[in-house]
Amino acid sequence: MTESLRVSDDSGGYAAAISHVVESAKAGDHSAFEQLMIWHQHKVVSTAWRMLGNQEDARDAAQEVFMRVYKYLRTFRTGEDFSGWLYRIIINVCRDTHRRRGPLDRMSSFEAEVELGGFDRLSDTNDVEASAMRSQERTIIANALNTLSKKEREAIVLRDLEGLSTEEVARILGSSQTTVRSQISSARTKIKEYRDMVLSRRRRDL
Amino acid sequence: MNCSAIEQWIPLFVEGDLDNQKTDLLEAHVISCEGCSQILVQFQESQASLKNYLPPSFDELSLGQMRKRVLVRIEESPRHVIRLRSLFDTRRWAPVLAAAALLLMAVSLGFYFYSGRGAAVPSDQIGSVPGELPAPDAAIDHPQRESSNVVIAKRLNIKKRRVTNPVKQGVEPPNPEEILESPIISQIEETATQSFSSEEWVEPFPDAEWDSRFSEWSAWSTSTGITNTKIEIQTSDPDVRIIWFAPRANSNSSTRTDADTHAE
Repeated sequence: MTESLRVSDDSGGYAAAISHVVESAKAGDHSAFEQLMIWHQHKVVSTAWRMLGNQEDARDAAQEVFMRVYKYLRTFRTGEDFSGWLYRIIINVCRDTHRRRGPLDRMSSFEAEVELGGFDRLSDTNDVEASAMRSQERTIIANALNTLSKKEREAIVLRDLEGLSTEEVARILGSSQTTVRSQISSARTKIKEYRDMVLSRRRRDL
Repeated sequence: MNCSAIEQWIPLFVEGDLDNQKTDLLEAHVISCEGCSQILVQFQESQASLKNYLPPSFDELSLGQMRKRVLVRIEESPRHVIRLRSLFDTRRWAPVLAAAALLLMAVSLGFYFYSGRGAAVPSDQIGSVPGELPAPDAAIDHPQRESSNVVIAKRLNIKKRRVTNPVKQGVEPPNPEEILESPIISQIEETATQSFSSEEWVEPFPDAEWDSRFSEWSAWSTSTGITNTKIEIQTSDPDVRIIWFAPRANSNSSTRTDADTHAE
């Protein structure tokens, strides 16, 4: 049971498959639970990485997320939005990690990623100049995300990077849609201003 | 539309989070405003850069190890242990505990207010207990308490009245005005015509004064045929009043001794 499943697929097939596997996992079927992990591991680890900024924390967070999924799976009602429920757990685990870890040094996360080879996929390209440009942009965005407040980062990651609707983000974060709109507006403005500042400084230095 | 309002809408507009009416206004504005149009382009570039912030490729090996660690942890903590832990999960029981606490609080408050404000304050603690003390005419306010009423009945040789708590029996408590007009109280009220003022009580009367006062009472009660006397003493504390019911004394000296003792 290692076939992939698009977790963003809203079709009834996805819901039925999830429902079936969840019921089996609830009944104590560990292979069904492992299947749930396989289906959702990329989503969990990538969301955690966007929230936390480095791979090691993201992997630890993903492990904790799945432990909580197992622990609270019996409280999950059939027919409920599994994806939204999972996002709520991811957010809670990342908040706990933030609390435990404390504020992150702005430059450390991206530099650590480069050292760990987190962006190897990008360096595969032969176009070194384009790769360098993209790498610069990613550095800017990584550092810009670190300037956001915790709430702003959660909102912008879910809305702009995970592609959820404002309504879904509000439900996951337990906020109103107005609050979420305000947070994403503020976050987009801060990211844009940070990017403008860095680019203008570089132009000046050239 | 002015540019500052448009600039505030642009962050929402770039990802389609702006409502239709504002979207139309913004689109019309940026066509004619070069400054806002430039800002819009910058936001679009920033968003495009943000969208390219893709996560690194987590290799299957590390993800497989992560899954394995999860399954090992699950095996190490069997399901029944997790369930047992969840039984003691305070978040799970929080609503029940909160409801129980509220119920207990409501019952305690109800008991406090409907049982004559709790137990009577011991005489040696009067004046030291914070908060509101029973009013000086507590016997009238709280007819259900076995206090002055019983004493009155004995002194007047009237059959002892059964003291009941009207609240516990589910009936309306008696109106204080009606209690004042009851035969027992009215007889006592007729006798309660002699009293000291607080100013007088600040400095105790000399013995001669006591004798004189009690002689007056005795003569007065003999002449009126009233056999009982109610003495009210207002202390310096406005919340504390000593009420003493006394039968007419056979001799002045014995009555005075009782009064002295009580006052002390």
